[in-house]
Amino acid sequence: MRNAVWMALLIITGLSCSPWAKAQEQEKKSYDTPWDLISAEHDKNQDGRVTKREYSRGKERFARLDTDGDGVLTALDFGSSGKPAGRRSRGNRRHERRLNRAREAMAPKVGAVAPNFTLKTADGKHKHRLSSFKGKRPVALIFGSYT
Amino acid sequence: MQFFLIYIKEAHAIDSQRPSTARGQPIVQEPVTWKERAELAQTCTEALDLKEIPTLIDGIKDGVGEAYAAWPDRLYLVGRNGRIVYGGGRGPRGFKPEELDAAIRAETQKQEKRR
Repeated sequence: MRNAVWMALLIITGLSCSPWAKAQEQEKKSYDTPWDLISAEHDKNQDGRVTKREYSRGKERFARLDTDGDGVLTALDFGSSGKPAGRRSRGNRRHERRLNRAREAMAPKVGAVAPNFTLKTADGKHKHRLSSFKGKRPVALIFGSYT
Repeated sequence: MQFFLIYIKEAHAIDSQRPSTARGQPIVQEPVTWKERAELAQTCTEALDLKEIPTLIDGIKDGVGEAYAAWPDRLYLVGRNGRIVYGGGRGPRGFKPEELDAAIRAETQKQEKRR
């Protein structure tokens, strides 16, 4: 038991900052720029433009990527560096801050019952239910994503 | 002690409201299906060499991520009694593995004293 705890601690403490940030250093790059990804995956007729018909991931995302609002995605929407220009007005930033405060207020506090969940592993073969560990052992939850 | 990585909504997908701008940031689209999210999680854990820790994939509606206010990243320790023993701050600033480490040590000592 003790060895298992130490092994786990070594793994955790090895993650000196956000573990997900390390992906940035170690990523096997598939695309050099966001436009490379968008054009490779969605520009079906390879004419240098992605139309709404070609883009299959929803109107909202399309509108977010179409930063110049001309109704098609081109390299120009991603600026000279190929990065999406984004649309974060002052109003949007204020709205984001409000949302973040609201989310923070909803975070379960120390002493509260941990929200139960059942989630599948990435291969889809196994399920884990948080409540199944109750009375057995503590559970460390590390939330994050690749980006 | 049980560890789980819980893979949630991307923080800086290129089609998100906060697209990545940092050099070297992984260039990915926000998954639109559970399968896409699971595949991205596998890519991530392989790149990070995190396969030792079981990875669970949040549903595409982000139910668990929202229940824990976990986005973009956050740490928790759930005690044997099923209650939150440690809740970290919102990442990236509040993401502090050393605090989780201390909480785990305290929780482990507490259990050993009870024996």
